[in-house]
Amino acid sequence: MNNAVFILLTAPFVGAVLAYVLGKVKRELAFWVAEVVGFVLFLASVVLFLKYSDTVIDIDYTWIAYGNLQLPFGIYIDHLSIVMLLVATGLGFLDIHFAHDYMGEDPDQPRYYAKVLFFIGGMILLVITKDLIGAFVGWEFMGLASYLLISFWYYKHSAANAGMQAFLYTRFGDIFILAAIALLMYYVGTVNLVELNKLADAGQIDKTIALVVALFIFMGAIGKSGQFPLYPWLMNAMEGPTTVSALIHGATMVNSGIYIVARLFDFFSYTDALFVVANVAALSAFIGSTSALVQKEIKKILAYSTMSHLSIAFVGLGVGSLAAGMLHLVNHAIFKALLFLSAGAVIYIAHHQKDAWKLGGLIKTAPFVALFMAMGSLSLAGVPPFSGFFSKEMVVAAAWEWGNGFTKTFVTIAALLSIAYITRLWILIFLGEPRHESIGGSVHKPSNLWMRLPLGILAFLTLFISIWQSDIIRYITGGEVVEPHVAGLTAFMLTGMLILFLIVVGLYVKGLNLLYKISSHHFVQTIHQVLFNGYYVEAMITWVSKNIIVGAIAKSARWFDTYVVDYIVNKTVDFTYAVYKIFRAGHSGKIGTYMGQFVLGVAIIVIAILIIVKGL
Amino acid sequence: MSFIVLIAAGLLVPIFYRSNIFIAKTISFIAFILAMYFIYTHNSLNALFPYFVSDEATRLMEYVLLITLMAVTFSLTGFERPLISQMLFLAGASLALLETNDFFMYIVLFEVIAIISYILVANIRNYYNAEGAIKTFIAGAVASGIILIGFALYSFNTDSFNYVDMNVAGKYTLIAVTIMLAGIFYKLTIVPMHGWAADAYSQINHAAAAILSGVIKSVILVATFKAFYKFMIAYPLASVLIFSFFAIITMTLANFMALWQKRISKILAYSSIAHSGYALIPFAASASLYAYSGVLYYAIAYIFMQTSVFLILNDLRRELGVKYLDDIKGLYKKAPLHSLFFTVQLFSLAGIPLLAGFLSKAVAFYAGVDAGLWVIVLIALLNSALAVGYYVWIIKHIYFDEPREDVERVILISNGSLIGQLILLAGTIYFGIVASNVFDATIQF
Repeated sequence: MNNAVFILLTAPFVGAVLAYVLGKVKRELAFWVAEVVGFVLFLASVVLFLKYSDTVIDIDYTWIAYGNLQLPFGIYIDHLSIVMLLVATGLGFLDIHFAHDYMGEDPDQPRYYAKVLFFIGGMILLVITKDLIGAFVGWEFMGLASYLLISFWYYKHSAANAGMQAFLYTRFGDIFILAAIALLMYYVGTVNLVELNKLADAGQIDKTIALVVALFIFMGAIGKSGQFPLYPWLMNAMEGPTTVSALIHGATMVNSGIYIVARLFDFFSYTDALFVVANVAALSAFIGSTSALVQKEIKKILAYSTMSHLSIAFVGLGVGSLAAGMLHLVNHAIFKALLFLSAGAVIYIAHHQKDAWKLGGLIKTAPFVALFMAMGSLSLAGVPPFSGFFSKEMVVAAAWEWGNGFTKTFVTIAALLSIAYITRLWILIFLGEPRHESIGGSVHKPSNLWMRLPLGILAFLTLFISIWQSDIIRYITGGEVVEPHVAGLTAFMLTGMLILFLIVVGLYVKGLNLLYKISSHHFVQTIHQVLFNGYYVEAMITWVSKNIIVGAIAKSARWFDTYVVDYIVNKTVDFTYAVYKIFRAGHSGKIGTYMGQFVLGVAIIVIAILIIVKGL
Repeated sequence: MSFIVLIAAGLLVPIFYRSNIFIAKTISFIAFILAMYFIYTHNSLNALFPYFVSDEATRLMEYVLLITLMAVTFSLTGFERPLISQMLFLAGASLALLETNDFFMYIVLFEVIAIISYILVANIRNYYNAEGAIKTFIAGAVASGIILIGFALYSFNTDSFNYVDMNVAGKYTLIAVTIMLAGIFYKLTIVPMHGWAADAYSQINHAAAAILSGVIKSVILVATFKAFYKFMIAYPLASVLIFSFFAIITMTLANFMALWQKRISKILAYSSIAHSGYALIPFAASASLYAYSGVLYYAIAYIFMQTSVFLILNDLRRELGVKYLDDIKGLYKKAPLHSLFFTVQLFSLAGIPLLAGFLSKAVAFYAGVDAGLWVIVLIALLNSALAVGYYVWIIKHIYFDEPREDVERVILISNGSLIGQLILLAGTIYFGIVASNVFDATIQF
């Protein structure tokens, strides 16, 4: 096996154990182990990028082959995987670096770094495996790591609940992936991702089966990438440390749903499942962007914007443009990591104050953070020349050219609204006067090396990666792409954004009184409530699971369990004891008895064989 | 060469018993590593005598055997030190038994291993040890007599003892083979030849019990399958009947007996007997192409987990005087690392996935289904479900019960034990995830 691949596969898990064990000896060692491992992983990805951009690494390995059971576990690294690897390990490294200060006061650092490395290992496993089984293992590793990291401060009630919620919501999606694997094994006979694309291209799969499988896989992606209706966990996941939100719930893990659809892109396009993908994603984009407008907590605003932007990437895939979707995924990963880490810096500076309405005026104390966050915001809003502009523009254009009316309308609205909520967030944090006494006095100073440097690198990236946008597209798709072009779209988008920008600036900088007046109106308040609670989807899911699943189905099952199953199980105790008493009679502990049984046994065998086989 | 190295080291080691046990362990470690190297270069007994062949499956089993014995050697302390040289002798004899392709050699080496096991149990410190040792010895003597009767009867019928050229068609062959098998069942602790084992395993020194129940049984299992394979193919009906019948009564009786024991060592002894029952399923399924991989996998998985649990119990008895289930209440507070190793290996014995115990059962049962013996496999599955009852019962005592008295000190695991347990744990996990080694090795059979 290739050395770099071997390192990528094993180093995170070895590192996780080392970080934990060494961290228990001396707390600082946990960070340094994680930092070194993170850097080595990034280096390995870069080596793969430099060495294997012409060829594809394709290693076939069979985990278990026995009889007619085959569980393959191959490695397949092409351009798509390398891009994902660079994103995951690069951002992972920066995130670990940033955590030095952010998590610096936490007594549980060994646990933290072990979990983060474990997570990175799961992500790497997902993006380099060739088979759906390996991908599923990586997928579940990430799910587990996400659960463990959201509930990192497990003694906080809200964090523990949020972790559990994330686990249950994503697990609901994962069941469908497992079902998809089973269907593929049974009907198609392969779970090889590359093979599936080839079969789909050749049209050799039954269309109905393929559609069901594709929808099931997309269901898993919905859970993982926070799409409608399984998104509420993503908002509550913000209970975890901000560095975790940045890495897992902003930049990498939530992308895995998009990745799996992109990896099976030919398969999806063959089945018409992309139609469903596009529409669900457009709806999610709309929900995310509108809900982000009214949130109070910094991280929730970012979480809704994550949901909305993941949906925009999904729409790109859904309308048939792999290039647009993946490009937006990469750009989004970078600027969203930047935004989350900046938010982390803000929270660190403001003594863990997360409510945007209680911040304000921080531009004086943290000008660099304000600058970097502004760059991330502009990129997210889609202002040229930042990278977000190009990819978002491409997705919207693709939707206009190939999508239906529903997709077109909602994705455009979502794309336009991003400037409104992110400007609002930035203004609330940095402009005006401090609105709360906690940040009035002393503030934490962000250190240059541990906080400003990673932010600076990310800000630099989000600006300058725009130069290579078409190169990235060509690298991922491996050829020239028909770029969608809609006349006047750019002008329309920019005008719309400018108007929204001016409205937000006007309301939040100059016209706070007007804002209060408007929002005190009953009708506006109702809308505000709906948006603030994420369209009450969480409440609906809770109602259904509480009343129908728990109240009706589970209760009747429990009755059956208590009065039928338990009765039988309890009776087995008496039964086994009766049998035991019979058997015990032969075990006197005397060697003479044993030898008697021995010889008797020999006699029985011999006689039985004589009678049965020889017919004596 | 591997054989010579092991025997030479075995003769050399006793010199250091009184002076420095560390040197003795180092010498045996080097001997094990060298032996593995020579096996790797195909320079084992097959290079010296014509009666031995070494194929890939044998080599795999030999590596596993040597690694396990190495782990046991690391864990030995105190008055168990005489066992070190016996480990080396046992390794030599086992290599010979695994590699032989001659039925006469098989019988002789079987007796050699029996004698080594008598010496192992002769490390007597108290009344219980003595009782266990005497039971082992008497049962062994009776079994030897029975095996020799069968063998004598068989030798009238054949000109050659080579596994390939043996005559299996003679008039008295079936009777002779049946009698021999009955004798060999003593070592495999098949009901009703198991009475001695249930007592002896729990009475003798637990380190010796680890070797007796874990290592020796696995070696005999693989070697017996190879020796009797031709007979099993020649008499399919008889072999299905004999092995299925004994498999069923062995596992059923042992599981029910284990369920109600109070002594931990006794539970483990009966669990060991139950596992012999499962291991007979691929014997019954010898018509299937997967039978050999079933036996080999079972032996490999079993050697790691059974050896490990008895070694941990040995440590616990020495440090804490653990004997009964009540003694291990809240054990994880007193001995966290021991509890962890114990739990993982018990899960493996119970057959929890991703551990060797699961895959070995899966492979063995698959062979049974492949040969059409699904009724027996069904009974075995029910039995494994029953067995989870007592394994989990132990774990429940360790983790979910409060200790009877306050915890004064935490027992740390000694370095030797730690290395030994880590090796065995690595084996259990490795063969629980990577199955291809065993399958590849048994392909040519």
